[in-house]
Amino acid sequence: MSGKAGGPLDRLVDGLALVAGVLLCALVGLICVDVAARTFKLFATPWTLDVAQYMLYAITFLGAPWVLREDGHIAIEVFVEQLVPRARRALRRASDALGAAVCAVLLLYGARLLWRSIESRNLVYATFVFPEWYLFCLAPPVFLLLLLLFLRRVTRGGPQAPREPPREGI
Amino acid sequence: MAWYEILLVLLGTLVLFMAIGLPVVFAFFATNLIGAFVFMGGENGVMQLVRNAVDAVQSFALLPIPLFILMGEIMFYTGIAARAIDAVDKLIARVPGRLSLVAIVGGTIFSSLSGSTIANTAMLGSTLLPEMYRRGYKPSIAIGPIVAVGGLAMLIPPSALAVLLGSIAQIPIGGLLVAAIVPALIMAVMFFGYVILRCRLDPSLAPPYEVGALSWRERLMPFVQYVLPLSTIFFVVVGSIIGGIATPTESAALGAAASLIAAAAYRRLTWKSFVVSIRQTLRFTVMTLFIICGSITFSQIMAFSQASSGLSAAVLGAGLAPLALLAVMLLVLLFLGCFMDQVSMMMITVPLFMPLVQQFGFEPVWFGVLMLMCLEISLATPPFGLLLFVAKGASPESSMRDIVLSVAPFVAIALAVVALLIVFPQLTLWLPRLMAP
Repeated sequence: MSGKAGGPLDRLVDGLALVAGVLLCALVGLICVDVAARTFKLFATPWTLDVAQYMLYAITFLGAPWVLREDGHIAIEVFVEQLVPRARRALRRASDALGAAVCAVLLLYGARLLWRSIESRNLVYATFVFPEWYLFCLAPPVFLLLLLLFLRRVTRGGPQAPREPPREGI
Repeated sequence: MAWYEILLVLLGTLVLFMAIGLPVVFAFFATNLIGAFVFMGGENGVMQLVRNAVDAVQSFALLPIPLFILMGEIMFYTGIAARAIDAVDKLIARVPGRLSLVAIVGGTIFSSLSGSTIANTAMLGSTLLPEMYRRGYKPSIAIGPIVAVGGLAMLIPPSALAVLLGSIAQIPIGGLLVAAIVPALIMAVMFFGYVILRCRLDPSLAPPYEVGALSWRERLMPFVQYVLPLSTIFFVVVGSIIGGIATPTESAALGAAASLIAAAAYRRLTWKSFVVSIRQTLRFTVMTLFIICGSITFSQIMAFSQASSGLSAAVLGAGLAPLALLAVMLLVLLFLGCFMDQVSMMMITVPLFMPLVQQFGFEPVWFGVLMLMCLEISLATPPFGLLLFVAKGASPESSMRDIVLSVAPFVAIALAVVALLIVFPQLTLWLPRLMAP
């Protein structure tokens, strides 16, 4: 999605973002088709609601590493920017290290939750019936990618991409 | 620990993590990891946090968010919005502060097609500011209207933030979307009146200039061609909600599809503009929804630790008048808005405010609109007001001081509208009451 060449980590992050982008287009199409089908009584798609919800979840998680790599997650820079450059760099490194620690804990517990769900053989009873662990299998790899991206920021002294002017927020 | 100590520690930790520059979603995750471990049963609490993060965005109520954002991005990147502004520009003539008025009318129209305040401000700034400066407009009458009207996108449907607020505060989303229309229009009319008055009192702010002589047909045709067809998209989105024909999600999907069709019909839809629109939509959607994943457990920790119930009991025990409580809540929002983004503000305050809203019997839709108004105002308050930075990006030669000063009267007008809505709740509530049950 970024159009940047990079190492395997960047290619993986871009690939997941591409999947998220395709899912986003599919989501729009899916809901439009559902509305049209119901309005004109063409055919029934009772599974739309469930599928759309899972797509939204997948879009969010698959896109999260890409947004971090692009430095697009909202951060409050107003205090950090008051510091002298050296202190600013040190604080940014510390906050990136904290981000890495947070992702490491989330990776650990995300993996444990996944394992527990596989062992328990719980099922989700929605329009489709499927094992609950399907829903948890995205979190650990995504938190692993986020961890790696934060570690890279720590070692490189900041995000790879320079911060864009505030196009953040909606 | 007493409830207020817990509250102080949790909020203090969160603010500290945010202040050191940690992205807010990870600041929420970090605070919630600590809170979940301490107050929600150790490792089981942390496991619940991860489960909540996964479950948080599997919600039908949140589906309009990407769709509303996509609508605005398509309008912005295909250049349709700029053409609509151009059409408004031709329509308005021989009035004091003409270009500022074009910004207000054009921004209000674009707000009805876009859920993005940033896109709205950036579009107005890039299309109108250079012309304003070329015509000798002073920053105080050039930047202020653009920033002020840019924020209206948060209020006028399609509003992604209204959907988010409705979803997390359990306020009917359709009602909230519709209820914000009248307050937003009142605000736009007051901005309009202020610009005319100010420019009449001091014509040097916006020197009058001769607009090329155009026939009525030449003035009206671009409006008919580029604005009226787009306005039907707004009426489809809002009308389908009011008429009970479609849910907010369905109306958002119709709006997104209609935007794409309109862009194609105007022959402005290119592969490049489509990809950029999707890319920006993905970016803002993920950014917003991932904050929900990170912060969703915050309200549970508040409940488990008795912090929110302690706060409610203390407020009830203090014998505060409802109006005083309302004023305090809105002031807290305005204060937070000086430093924080809108999504974080919602995620912090909703768990604390909504129990009070219920106990004091405030109408949730009315309170939601007041909250949205404060969030909208905080987009333009220094030092963190996002739209101030967007205006700075569109007008690098203006100092931040000039920008803040030019926006200040519009912030005052917006606060006056908030006061008006408090005194006359029916201004907010009459439109949602027309909705089909």
